[in-house]
Amino acid sequence: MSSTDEKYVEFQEKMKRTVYVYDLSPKVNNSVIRTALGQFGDVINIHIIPNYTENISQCALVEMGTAKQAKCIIAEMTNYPFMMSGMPRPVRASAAQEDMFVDRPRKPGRKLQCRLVGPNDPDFEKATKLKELALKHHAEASFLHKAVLEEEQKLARKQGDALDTNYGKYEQIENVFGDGTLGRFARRMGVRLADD
Amino acid sequence: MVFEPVSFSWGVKGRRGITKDVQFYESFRYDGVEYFLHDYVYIYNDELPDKPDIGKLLKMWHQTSRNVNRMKVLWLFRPYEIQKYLKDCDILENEIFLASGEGKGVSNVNDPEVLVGKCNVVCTSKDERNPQPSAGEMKMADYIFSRTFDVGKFRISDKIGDRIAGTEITDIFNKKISQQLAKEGKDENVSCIAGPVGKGREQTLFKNTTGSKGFKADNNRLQPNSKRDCNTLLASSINAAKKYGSLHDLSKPIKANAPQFESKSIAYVVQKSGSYSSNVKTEPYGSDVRSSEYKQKTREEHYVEERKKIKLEEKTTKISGREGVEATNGKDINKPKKQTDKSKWFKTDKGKSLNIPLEDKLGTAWRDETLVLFQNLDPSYTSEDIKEIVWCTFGEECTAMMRPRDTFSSLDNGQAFVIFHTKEIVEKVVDELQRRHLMIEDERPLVAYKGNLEVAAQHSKFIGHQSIAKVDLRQRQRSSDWKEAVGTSHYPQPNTIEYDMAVEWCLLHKQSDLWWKALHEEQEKELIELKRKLNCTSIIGKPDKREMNVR
Repeated sequence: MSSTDEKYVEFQEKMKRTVYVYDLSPKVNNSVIRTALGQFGDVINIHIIPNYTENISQCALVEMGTAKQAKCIIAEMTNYPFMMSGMPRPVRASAAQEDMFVDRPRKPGRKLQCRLVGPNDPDFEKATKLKELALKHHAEASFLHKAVLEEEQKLARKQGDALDTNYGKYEQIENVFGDGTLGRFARRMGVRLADD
Repeated sequence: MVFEPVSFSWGVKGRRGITKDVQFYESFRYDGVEYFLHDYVYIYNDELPDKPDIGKLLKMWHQTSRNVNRMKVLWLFRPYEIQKYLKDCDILENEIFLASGEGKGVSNVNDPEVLVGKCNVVCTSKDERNPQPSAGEMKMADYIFSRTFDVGKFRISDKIGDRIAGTEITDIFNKKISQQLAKEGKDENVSCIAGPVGKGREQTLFKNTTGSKGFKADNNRLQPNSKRDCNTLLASSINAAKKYGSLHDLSKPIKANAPQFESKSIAYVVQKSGSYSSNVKTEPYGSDVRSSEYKQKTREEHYVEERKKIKLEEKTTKISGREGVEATNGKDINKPKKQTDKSKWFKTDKGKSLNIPLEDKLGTAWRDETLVLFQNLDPSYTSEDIKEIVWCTFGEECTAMMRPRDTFSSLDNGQAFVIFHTKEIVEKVVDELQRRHLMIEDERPLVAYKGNLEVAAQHSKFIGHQSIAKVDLRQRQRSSDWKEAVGTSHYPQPNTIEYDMAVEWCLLHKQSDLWWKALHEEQEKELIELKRKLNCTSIIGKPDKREMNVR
């Protein structure tokens, strides 16, 4: 096997052991991930992927000791919400794919063919149409991206409001307890406050 | 309940300890059973009286100044105690694991009162120093062990070092036959207690045929360790408490071993239990990472039975006492700039090292307008492929970087950042690509834009993490605990608000996955349709349908 082939096979093997963790808060760093996923197996390597998009959530590639560990993590995190550095938005995990690795080795035996197609070329029309479609798809994808972000914001806001309201209620109850109002009221009504 | 005093008497004397205070022995008789050095014993486990802990007696002594008897026990783990680390191992039916390594949980010093009985354990390790047990011995054995569990590294291993817990490994392995025979003449060779259950137990005694008993005639080996043992008596008793704390649920008050037996043993319960119950949240994982990790890990085992989830609910309930929801300072407006250590990015161990980190390059390229974004690439291309394409087509050199895919990008669409040397080259290339089309593999026209790095607004907060502003302020005093509790990664318990909210997020995730899936399917259809119409030579197939994260 040539060295590129070997590298590729090695890479494939590593890929099987790697977990792609995303929806991470920007507060999450290497040590957090290591502690978190270290609970499930041996963490060999962590690579937090630099984020060049508008979306503030981060993602990382975590290489585990065995493929089985990686699979377990993915299965569990898909079925149960796992929190890292904050709540209640869970992080997500999926199996790492080739194109998630920036420094992946070349696929052996790949030959690239490319040519510039000018306006005089018979294929020019074809190329233009394909390009247009590609652009359209890209725009659609961005749109969906934004829509999803909006939904997320909506949910976060809703949860935030609910949380504040609930907390306010609890605070009120505590205050009433604390400043004696409840006690006095209870005595007036002849009701025992104690739990027994 | 009345405790009758249980008979205890020392047997053969060993040597004296470094301080005249301590007298080592080689055997003792407790409650009618004779225990010898290096015997395997059952030790009472107050949380699981039916499953006593298994240990090996490494030393036994009497301390005259305090008039106490002590024994040093090396632990062997049952599979359930370390099941988290056994995930990919096959375990034999009666296999146990020897503790090894540095850290809590390897051995403890205890009062012999915690003994429940003797145990028949055989070492089946294929190590050449270990006399291999016969088939008969294996059959008679209650337990076998051949692997160790390193309590510091949390790892199972076949290899056994030279010393464990300060004892030579030959004392740990099975006894050599010659020594056994030499001792045959001694008092009853008893072993094999069936089903120890506590004080009022039945003892069935079998004739000993295994190598688990007998002791070395040579006692000099004990010499180097004795001093350490005497001086660290108190520390060991802390270990006893901690050992239980680390192996079992921390929220229960921790007792060392069988405190009911005699009030003396309660002196052992060095009050780590006190500190545990009040500070059950988490250990700071800056210091003493291992023990806290270990505790966290083992606590997790007790969560939901079907799945081994983490039970760190103490954090959530402790913090607010009311709701179980706390979070980072998600709403903190003065959030510092998003610190990313991107400069380390390319200095991976893969041997690639760029002189200038790519992130900086991208940044400068963007500013200098030498950055181009290529789209509509086959995602399986690598950065080198891109470089080649650019070189072949334009004769220009460049730095290329394939953008790693995120789960939402189409499976079919790859993107790359390409940095050229000068602005003019960029202009030229982009112009060219607009006038003419660069068809790669005759199917994909390259789409190129002048690069635009969309970086997340620095002050935007991470969507979804909640915090309660008021509680934030109040809790700031206990900030270190607070931070750790919030910061520790965990699976939330179902009875918390946190869990309900998390489930809502999961729902949203699944929904958005479905949206993306629908969009991609739609787009794929359109593409195939178009290609058919244009009579392309080959319709894109998806030979390796990579699965998106859709369930």
